[in-house]
Amino acid sequence: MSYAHLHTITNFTFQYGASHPAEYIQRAVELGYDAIAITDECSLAGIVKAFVASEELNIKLLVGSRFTLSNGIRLIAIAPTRQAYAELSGFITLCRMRSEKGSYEAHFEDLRFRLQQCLIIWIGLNDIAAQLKGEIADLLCAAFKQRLWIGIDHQLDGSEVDDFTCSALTGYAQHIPLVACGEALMHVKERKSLQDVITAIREGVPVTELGTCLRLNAEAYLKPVELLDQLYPLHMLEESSNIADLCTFSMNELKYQYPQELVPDNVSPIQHVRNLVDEGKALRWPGGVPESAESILQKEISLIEELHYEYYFLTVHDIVKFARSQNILCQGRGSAANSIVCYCLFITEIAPGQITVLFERFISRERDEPPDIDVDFESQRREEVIQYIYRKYGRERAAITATVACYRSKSAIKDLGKALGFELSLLDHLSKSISYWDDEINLGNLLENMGLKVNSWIVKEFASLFREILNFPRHLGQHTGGFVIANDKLSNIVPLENAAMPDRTIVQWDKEDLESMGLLKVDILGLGMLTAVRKTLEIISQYEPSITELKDIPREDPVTYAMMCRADTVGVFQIESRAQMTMLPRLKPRNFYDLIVEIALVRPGPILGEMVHPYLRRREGLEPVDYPSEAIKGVLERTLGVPIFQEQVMQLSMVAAGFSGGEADALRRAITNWGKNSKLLTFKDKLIDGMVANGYDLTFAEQTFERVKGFGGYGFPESHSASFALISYASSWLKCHHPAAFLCGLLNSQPLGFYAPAQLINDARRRGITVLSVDINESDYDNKLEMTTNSRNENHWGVRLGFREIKGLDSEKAQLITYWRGNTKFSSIQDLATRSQELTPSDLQCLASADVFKNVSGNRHQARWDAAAIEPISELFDENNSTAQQDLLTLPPTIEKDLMDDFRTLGHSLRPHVMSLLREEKPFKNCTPKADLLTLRHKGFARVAGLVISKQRPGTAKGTMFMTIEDETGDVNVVIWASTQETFRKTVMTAKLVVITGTIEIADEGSEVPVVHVIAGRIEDFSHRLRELEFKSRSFR
Amino acid sequence: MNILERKKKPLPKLWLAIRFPCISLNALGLIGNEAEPFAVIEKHKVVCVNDKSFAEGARVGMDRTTAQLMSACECKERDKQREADLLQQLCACAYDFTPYIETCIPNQIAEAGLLLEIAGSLELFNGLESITCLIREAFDDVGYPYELGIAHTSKSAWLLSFQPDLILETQANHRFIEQLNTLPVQLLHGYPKTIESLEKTGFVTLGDLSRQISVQSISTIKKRFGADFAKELTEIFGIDQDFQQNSLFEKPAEVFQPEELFSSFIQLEYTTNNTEFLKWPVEVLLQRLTEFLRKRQLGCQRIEWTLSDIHKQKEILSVYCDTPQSQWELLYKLTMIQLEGKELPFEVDTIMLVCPHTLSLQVQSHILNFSGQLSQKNNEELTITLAKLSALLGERSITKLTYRNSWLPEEANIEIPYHAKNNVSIPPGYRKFFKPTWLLPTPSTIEIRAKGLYWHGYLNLLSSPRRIRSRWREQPVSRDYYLASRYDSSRLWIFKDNFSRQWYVHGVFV
Repeated sequence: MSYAHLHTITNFTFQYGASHPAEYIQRAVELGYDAIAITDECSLAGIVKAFVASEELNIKLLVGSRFTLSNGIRLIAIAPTRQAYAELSGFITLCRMRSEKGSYEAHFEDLRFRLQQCLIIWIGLNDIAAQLKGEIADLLCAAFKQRLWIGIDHQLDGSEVDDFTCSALTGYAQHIPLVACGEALMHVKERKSLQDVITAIREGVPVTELGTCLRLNAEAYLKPVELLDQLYPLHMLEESSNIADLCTFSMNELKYQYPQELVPDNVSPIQHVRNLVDEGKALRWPGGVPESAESILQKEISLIEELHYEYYFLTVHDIVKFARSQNILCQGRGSAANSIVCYCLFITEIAPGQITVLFERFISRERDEPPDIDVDFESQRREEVIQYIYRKYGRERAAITATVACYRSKSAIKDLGKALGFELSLLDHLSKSISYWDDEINLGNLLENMGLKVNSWIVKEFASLFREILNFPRHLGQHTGGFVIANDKLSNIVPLENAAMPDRTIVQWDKEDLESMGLLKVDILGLGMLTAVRKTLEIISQYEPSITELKDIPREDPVTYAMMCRADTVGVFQIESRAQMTMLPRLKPRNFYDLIVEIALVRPGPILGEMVHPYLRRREGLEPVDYPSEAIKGVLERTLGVPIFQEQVMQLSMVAAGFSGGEADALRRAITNWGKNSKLLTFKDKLIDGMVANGYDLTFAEQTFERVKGFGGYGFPESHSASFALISYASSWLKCHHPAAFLCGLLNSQPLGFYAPAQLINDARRRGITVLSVDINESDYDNKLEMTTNSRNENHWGVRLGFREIKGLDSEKAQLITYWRGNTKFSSIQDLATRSQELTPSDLQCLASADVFKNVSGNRHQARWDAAAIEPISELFDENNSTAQQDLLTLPPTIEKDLMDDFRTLGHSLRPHVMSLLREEKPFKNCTPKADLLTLRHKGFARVAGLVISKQRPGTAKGTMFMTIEDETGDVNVVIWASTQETFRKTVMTAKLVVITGTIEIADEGSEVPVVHVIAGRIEDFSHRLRELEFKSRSFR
Repeated sequence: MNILERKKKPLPKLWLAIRFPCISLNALGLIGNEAEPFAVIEKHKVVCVNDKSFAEGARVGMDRTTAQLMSACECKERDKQREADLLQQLCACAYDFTPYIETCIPNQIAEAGLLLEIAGSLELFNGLESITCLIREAFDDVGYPYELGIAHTSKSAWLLSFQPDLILETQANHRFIEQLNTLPVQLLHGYPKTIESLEKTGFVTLGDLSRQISVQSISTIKKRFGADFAKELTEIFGIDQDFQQNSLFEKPAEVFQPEELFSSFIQLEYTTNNTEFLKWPVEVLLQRLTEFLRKRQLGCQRIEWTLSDIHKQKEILSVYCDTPQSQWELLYKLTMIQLEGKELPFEVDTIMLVCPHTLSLQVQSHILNFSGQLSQKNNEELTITLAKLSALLGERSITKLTYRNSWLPEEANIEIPYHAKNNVSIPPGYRKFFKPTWLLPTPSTIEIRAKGLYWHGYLNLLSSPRRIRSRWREQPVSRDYYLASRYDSSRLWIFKDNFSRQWYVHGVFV
């Protein structure tokens, strides 16, 4: 018997469907269906995932969607042809775009004129009043003629006979054929509990209170054919197959067209690429292109022509050209740096000599997928680029990629728990007990620890549903910067819908879907450091005009590398993390390539592949560097025989096992996906056999495979590391030679990076930079340089903090203060209020709280007192109606109170460090300050205290946490083993001020600056002392 | 000063504040010193904790979860109405000392209190020390924790109740102000934003404020912190601003009005345990009640009879009625039904009638009864019948059925007390499907015989199955329901349990 399932609601009909698209496909294959239609509610969001699975499992996929019209009619539209698909996609777009995110609005009139090719199945006939049925059937018949069916849905609710009789009568009267069309909300009936739970989540009511809002039974699943045979007459089942036979459309037919207007008339696309590359070549290599680069370049261009990627390169080039024309710093990252074409088009900045270019990493003939070019733009100006794309291509042709927000541990616990009627407080506690690092939490243990009986059926149900709901899609979100641009209407390929952000439209497919369907995606990413670098360069150019652009930064500066070797890299791009700072004195980067290695080495791939220590030992000459063959030497020589980059794995497979470029890239992708659905093991034999055939020892071949596997999903491409290294080097040079300007640049580009402004300021002050407080008569909106005199009476650039640092101050007004000030300083708060006329009493209070009036009004208390007396300016009053200053009789604030107020209003303070105020008190006086740690004995006892400024728990560290605490003399690195974290879990998660007792480890390993760690044994929370400090300041009288 | 002059000049006011810091607990029937930890919550925040909970670390202001983690306390939702009722009762207690009673119910904290103007009572109770002592004794008897504060204004008395150590046996204003000056500004609970501003400006105590006011003027405060706050300060400190002439426009002290309730009794000239002899006094007392209600346009639904003997033994009877009554007849019938069913354990000497709650007859609305199905007469008869049944069987025996939203037939109806409100809306899922008139309390097993299903006769299935499946109970349910007919033409609702494969009859269509 033939049968096609025509009514399938996946979990991409958010909070209705209870199975993944791929699960339906898998089940349909198991049940021997001829075909299956995915018919999500006004959506094609899950269709690509179903399509990928259907291709793998070789079953016919029908593309459809279900709609409830504004007049109550419910129907399914299935696309039999490519044109019908475009109609359907366009119709979904129309319904979604006219409504708010997450909802749709469909009218019968739209349907009639817009779905002229789709097959229509009328469902829910029996929910319509009897007297209207005939009328609606007439309407539908007139609109869809031979493309109309009545869908019969038997769900064993006891009304089958009546429903069937009613539908059959209507169908007979109007000559509309009947078809079996049972709704499936889950692929197997065992998902009923989950279906109930997501209903409860949707309704916001515990499942036990939903009563008849729940489905009556678990019949909405994919049924075995034998069972269907008992439920539906044979002709209705066969009719489903007939419908499937009418559908000839396959998602494979979707051919994406790149935007073509970028090619001038009478020039072929490839010729245009060649012309642009030639122009770029001349600029990149004024003295002529090196022969090796030229040959690769020609190979690249040929491949681009062969695979028809000209428009893609031209599109990205156009966007980058726009950014450069606007003086927006940008730089391609990732695999694109493997392309000399990208280098010549100024998309990337990595010259072929700087790394070993492997074009196959970027484009491969075998893969036949569009290349992925990610371009970083200054984060603060990225919106200009986005608006340019909208302007140029229009909203019909450009949209943002979707991201599918899925259930993660915390959200799953919260929603699931509420649905099961668990106490909110319990869920809150449970959710707080899960940290960001708990990828696979042992829910049972957690529940038991909370005193719940893990054997009770509801707790068991909770645990089992928790596993099922993880990774279930919740809603469509907006990708950070992935743009899809098409030559024609994008909605012919994929439906569009409104994003949560006003004036943004997203496609219904996510990054993986677009990749599967071969659609062009350009990642317009924002990178805060590029903003910081540009701002720093602008500041430097004011006093050193020879430095205005990135290219003006001298290359390979030994002083900069020396700074890196000292791990003096707070604020520097990429190499500022705790792990990077620990590695820097050991790796001691002395040139650009070392920096590329440094960035790639502190990554999970090399760490898990155990490549870090061999590399360091070989670098220090403690271990011999040998190669089994010259070919392998050619691949690994630059990393001393240790594979560190993804490209090297690819090259190894090519030179040692005879892989083609495409095969090598397939291997790389299998490595990346290892552990998910990877086919890595399918490459095992090929790699080992290939290596043995090329004369390598079997043991060596097996070892090589194991190392390759060790890369897991975390290997880092050399090209990506190189692109990052460029920015790392630039930011390091700026910090080394222009520290004040760099601090300004960083502060003016917040939020970015690893450190908060307070830590950046402390670091700069420890380097001798004078940082001046925000002052109503000296500051601008942005932080700026100011010439100051140091203790030795020498002039140098200090940093004057700007109004932007004040929390809660209206930024528009803050920017105007300089304008209102002009050349005349404000004499009082009243003067500021009078001259500005726009500052409200609350703005003035905000300024007073930030202590910006100390040179005008006195201490904070007096300033607030004065500011509070200012009344809103009225035009009716005389301009000179000033408030006479009235003395405040309260005491001035203590230093402790000022300190706390600084943190409250600015987030940092230039006053003495909190620890210096507490240092003489117990238990802090028994703690060793950071500056004195080197006086302790290696492996000896240590007690340190400080403010917690960062915590990291890299996946590679086997549960170890790296905490950084700050005292008045610097940052202390603390290592917390997993068992210690468990003991002091609450303190580790919540404490702001800690005292840590443990042992100290001092490793100098020939480095200039020894690496010092405190291994925590006991962690005590003293956060309450911060509050006491504040209280003390209050009662200090 | 002679007596005449003393009468002319009004006495300076003296206020005594009685603050109940645990009123939200007290209103829920807790004292504060229970052995188990308790917390009162409002919008998920803790507003009051008992001693045990406090000792274990729970604090006011914590979120519910944190408090429960700290002390494993039982959380109870705050009930403001019960707090208000309790405060009224406490007023009645304070009424013994002065008629000038105000209640203080701040919005920002879950505390409340009474403000007693006691200047006029000092002489009667032999001075401040004595009246304070008596008030303490009276409220100690009540049993709820409280704090006292005494000052020249009601607001300062309230504030000083937060520093009970500072209570003075004095009536000198300057001493009260000295005490006020030591209090922190955080006690000005009604002005949270202003407190923040004050602290940021260096004002830590009320003394900082009074110093600023005395050196400059209240207008400096008014200008910066608003007129309302300045007014609050003047009221706290009792600052009599010339331009305001407070004393001229002073609001007269509120006089407490105890709640009016009907209470009347008859002492019998004979003692009896024969209910026949009680008919007459019952009728007389109910007629008095009718007179009371009629004059005030009131009705009542509940009355309470207290029968007592000469040894003070008591028997209490409560009489309820569905609809508010302002006439005595029905109440009389209902009372007599109860009395007739009762054996009095002693010889009744006194019979007392109390009507604790009354309802305004003005606000009652009547449903228009077009159908005439339940006329007033019928209603009265039903009430009498139910009263008779209650008297015979006890109140708990009279129940009724109402809908519950569930697919499972045995869970779709629920028995509720007769006086409780029905769920009148039929769940949407029920409308489409047939339901039997009579649902068996326990499904009855059907035999499977050679010829088919047998339950007092062979059964024929008449419908397609209606499958019900639910996992949301300890024992999951999966059943297929059918309509079935029997040889005697009766229609049955039967189901097959899909787990046990057993058939059952669950209902009968009549």
